[in-house]
Amino acid sequence: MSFPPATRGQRRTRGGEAAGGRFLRFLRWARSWLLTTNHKRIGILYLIVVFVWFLFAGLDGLAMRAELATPQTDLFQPDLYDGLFTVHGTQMLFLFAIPIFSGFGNAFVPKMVGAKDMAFPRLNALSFWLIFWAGIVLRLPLYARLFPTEGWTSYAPLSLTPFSSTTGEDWWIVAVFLETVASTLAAVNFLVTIQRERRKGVRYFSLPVFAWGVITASLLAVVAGPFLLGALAMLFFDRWYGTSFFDPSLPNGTLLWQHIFWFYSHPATYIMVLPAFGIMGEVIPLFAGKPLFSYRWVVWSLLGTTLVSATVFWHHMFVTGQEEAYSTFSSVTTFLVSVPTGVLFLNYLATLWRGTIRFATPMLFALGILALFTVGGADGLYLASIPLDRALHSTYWLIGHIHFVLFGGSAMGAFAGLYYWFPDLWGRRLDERWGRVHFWGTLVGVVLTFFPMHFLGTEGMVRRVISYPPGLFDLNAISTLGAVLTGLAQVVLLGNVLYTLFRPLRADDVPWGAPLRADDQLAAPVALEPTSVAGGSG
Amino acid sequence: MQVEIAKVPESPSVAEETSVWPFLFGLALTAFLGGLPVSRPFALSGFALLLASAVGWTWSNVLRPPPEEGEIGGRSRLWWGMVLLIVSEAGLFLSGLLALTAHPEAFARDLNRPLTLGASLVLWSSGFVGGWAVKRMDRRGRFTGGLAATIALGLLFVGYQAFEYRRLYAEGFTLQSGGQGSIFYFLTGLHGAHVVGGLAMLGAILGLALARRIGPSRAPAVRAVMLYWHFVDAVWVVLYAVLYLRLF
Repeated sequence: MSFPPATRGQRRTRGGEAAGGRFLRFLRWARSWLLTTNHKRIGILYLIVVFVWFLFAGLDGLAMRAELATPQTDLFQPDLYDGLFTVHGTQMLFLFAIPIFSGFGNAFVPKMVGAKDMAFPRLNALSFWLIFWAGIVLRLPLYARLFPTEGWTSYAPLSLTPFSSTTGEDWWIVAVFLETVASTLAAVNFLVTIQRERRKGVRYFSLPVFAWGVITASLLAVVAGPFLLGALAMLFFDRWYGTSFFDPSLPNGTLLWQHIFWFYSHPATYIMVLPAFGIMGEVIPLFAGKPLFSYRWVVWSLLGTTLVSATVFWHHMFVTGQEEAYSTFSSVTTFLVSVPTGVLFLNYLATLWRGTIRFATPMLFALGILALFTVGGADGLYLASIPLDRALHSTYWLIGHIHFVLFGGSAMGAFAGLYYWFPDLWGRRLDERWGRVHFWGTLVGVVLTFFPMHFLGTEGMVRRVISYPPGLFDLNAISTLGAVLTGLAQVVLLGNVLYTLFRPLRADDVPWGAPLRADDQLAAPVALEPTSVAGGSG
Repeated sequence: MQVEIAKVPESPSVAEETSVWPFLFGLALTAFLGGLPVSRPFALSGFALLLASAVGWTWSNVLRPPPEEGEIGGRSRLWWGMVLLIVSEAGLFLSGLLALTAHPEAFARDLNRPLTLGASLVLWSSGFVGGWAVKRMDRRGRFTGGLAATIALGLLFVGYQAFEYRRLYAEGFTLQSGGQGSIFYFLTGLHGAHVVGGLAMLGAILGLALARRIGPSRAPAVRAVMLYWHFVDAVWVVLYAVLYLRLF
């Protein structure tokens, strides 16, 4: 990667550049990136690190599918398999699906509101570095064979010392703690930036939809995030300092963790997907050649989703024997939360209606969300029903559901954002042909991988097991083949990014253009302001 | 096509926007927490680095002029930041209070209500004194005097809490004493840590004001710290009512 010369270093080494001078220049360049407090640079750092975490967690997933390709236990020891699904889930959710949108948010939200930078630039840098370290703390035990084995939910009392004594479990707590601190601080930062650093004349109801996605996700993170911090601290105390918060001998001791954990972690799934909905709101109008259909309804349905999503968390506990009133309440609200999301998607569909649609890659991915998230939302409704959930809970139906909403929502949203904003970040467009290969590979791969899981679930295949009855081989084989295809498609993305970074500039290397929206002039030039980072000296 | 537009280099100042403190602080927090289950010296050195980078971060803030507020009028960005931080901190304490729902035995033991009420009154009065002091930032003598009184009252409270912990431990009521011990020490300890953090911030302001390093131009920061101090007082109202008076 070429790097822009640091002015001071260049002056000193002008004329016959010695090796020492080059090294000094490299140090200045590295310093200007690693210690940066500039929102755009932090955004780029987020994108790089978080996509690397996506790569690692994706390889974990592929390893699991490789093990599940045959009914027997052949590739891994069971505890390694447990470690794989724990780290895969934790890293995908907490270190990809949440911070990826901090990356896009950093790069674009300040510009969208007309701010020079984030409200607290150095706090912003801290959030990034905590995401970086959290990924390392989470993954290291995997390589030291000190596996955290309790899954991404890490239910107490299963995660108490008598049942899981590895350092990996302790470091799982530390990693998730660091990530939650990071995302809570980032959320505070986004909200204050939008509230305080707006240019005069920028009203909340003229903000780009992506900014609304960030606002709603940040509200959830600020309100709910610290509950997880509290639960993690209590778990750590139980493991190390002899407290008895999650004492299984108490009548509700086994449920306490789940109550607190899901109060955060259900809203957390919306933290992962609301910004993706925001990206759809930027991409779909532009490539449909029409203004967004009813901006107000879009914003209100984002806000409605936010509000209702904070009340559905007891639906994770239908099978635990919690009080019926909680189950009934959350069953109703879970059905209810599909209403604002449905309104949002109908708005996006109405935006497409009679538009002149261009199927560029950002649009393909946005439409991919429209398709896949709808499937994931629909199969989630089965889980909202208490009697059906009692049969399907902890089966592969659940795995199918979560991957349709999170791969189909968050990951596809991240790809849409990457293709859409790549020219604004690097001054070049990603290659369209490779992009189409990436999209179709991902779409077909995701459906092949995760759709059969619904049938596996109804056949009774339980999640988090390393072996299964031979009768379920066919569906598992399809799923594994789909996973391989999904993985290959991501190799195409990686190749596309690397190729685009180093290829010479082309005539069409301009940003994708601004969203068209009738009631907003301010957002228009914002996304269009390009600055080059990699190509600065070239 | 406008190919040139993609070649516009970043302004040189972007490369100069750096600070070492967030990097160090993140490293230190990771070393501290990651070290806890592995090695005590490692965790302690992480904690030392954490304190050092907090001091360095604060000092670097003192050295630079206060950043300009945004175009829109109203509360400062620090005020908004502190309000949101308080909302999330409230969740931290609430998660501890939620533990009470699983622990019916959490109110088994009687705690020392009258003496603690005295200490609580000391803490709450520090909030009033501090609020009074912040309104007088332009009169340096009153400001520093008020702050010193606030800090003294806060220290008195922390001292009482240390005394009470000692007494309870001597009576055999410890962190390991079932649900009540866990919840009592977790919540009061979390609150105590917040008091100590607040005292550190107030102490820094007092020291800087005495050294004439900060003046009324830093009012937003001082007000934000005082908002935090009020929050710490308010949390104690809830904790005293729940843990001591059993209003739950």
